[in-house]
Amino acid sequence: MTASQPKPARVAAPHKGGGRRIWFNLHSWVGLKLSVFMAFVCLTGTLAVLAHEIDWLMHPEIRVAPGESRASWGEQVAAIQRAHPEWRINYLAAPHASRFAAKAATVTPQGRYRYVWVDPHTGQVTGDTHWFNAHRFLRNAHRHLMMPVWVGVPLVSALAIPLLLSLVSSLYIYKRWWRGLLAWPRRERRRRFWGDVHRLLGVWSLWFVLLIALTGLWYLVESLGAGARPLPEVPSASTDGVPSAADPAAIDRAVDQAHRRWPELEIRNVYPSADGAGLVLDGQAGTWLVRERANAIGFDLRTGAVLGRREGSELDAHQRISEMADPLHFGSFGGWPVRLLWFLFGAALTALSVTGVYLYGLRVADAMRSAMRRGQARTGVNQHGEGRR
Amino acid sequence: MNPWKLAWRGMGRWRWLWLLLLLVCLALVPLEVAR
Repeated sequence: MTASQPKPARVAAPHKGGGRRIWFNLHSWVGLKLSVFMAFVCLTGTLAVLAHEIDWLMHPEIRVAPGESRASWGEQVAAIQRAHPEWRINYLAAPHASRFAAKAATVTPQGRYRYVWVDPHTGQVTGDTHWFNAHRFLRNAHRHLMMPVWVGVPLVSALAIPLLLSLVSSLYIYKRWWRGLLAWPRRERRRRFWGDVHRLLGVWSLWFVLLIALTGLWYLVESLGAGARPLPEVPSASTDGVPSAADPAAIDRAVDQAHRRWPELEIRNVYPSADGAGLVLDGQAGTWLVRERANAIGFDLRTGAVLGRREGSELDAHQRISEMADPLHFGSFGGWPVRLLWFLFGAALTALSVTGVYLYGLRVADAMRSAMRRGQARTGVNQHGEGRR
Repeated sequence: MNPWKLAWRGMGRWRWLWLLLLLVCLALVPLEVAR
């Protein structure tokens, strides 16, 4: 058998009607030609959902014993300053989940980025790690293939278009698809079994594929310059002076004040300014499906004055869409049950890409076998190479 | 008639484009690490 083989159009199931056949050929062409890229992006995205948990397994510095007590933000900042007096703190983030340490993004005097981990219960530094971790690798590989963002993001997010095409074409190919929700794969032949698996995964994943394709499409639009206007600036004091460490006691006073003035704000990140004069706090404040940065309040740490505030509930529609895209795409809006669900459906999406490719191969193999049989029948040679007597 | 091999060939020139892209991605990892 030579390397040449029938094109997807020829190996399409012959019983399909004209319209369905066109959709089938489109589905097959898109799924096959883009499969390597699609499977890579789906796989890295799936693993990225649990990237923090992967880092937790890899780095003992991130693992802490659960506890009731809670060190204040200021105490945690003070612990980092004591452990690394020369390092500048860009931000300190609340623990990802229970049994996780709080994470501070810092810069060394040599300009290197390091993560410093703090036990949120004891207020002790547990260690520091390189900034390039599993989360960073998976996020960057998934989002822009490690390339410059202006090239990589449009390239990856453009996959939303073939993903949408695959979704729409599948609905035309698979008539009355809802009947397949409870159709268990038949273990008759490989092609039938994997076809059933492909369809079963597909019908259960329809909502997820639509969600990922639409948010991906939004990222494409954003990367091409039609994103929402930036969120309103939250000012914090700055002296433009020499870099200096923020006063931990002043941070705690600012946090207390934030709790009094904005009780709904659940602080997730603190950002001390480089000169130590200002502070921005952000987090969730009851607005559904927004990033933490949507709710922020800025302080002058020297006077304790509130300098500005922005609320997720006050954003315009365009900004809300922009804010919603990440929580929906990442599954980061409902704790570990939602993340687990996103991981499972991400795995299903990856499996759809892989099983689709395998099905194409099985279909080609079947078509080749049929062609061989027809050829042998014409020439009167049986499958053992014996001619008619 | 290995189905994987048949599918791999069926991808045509696209497979080399995506492989090249993924190789570039991996080659850029050390640059990211060094930041």
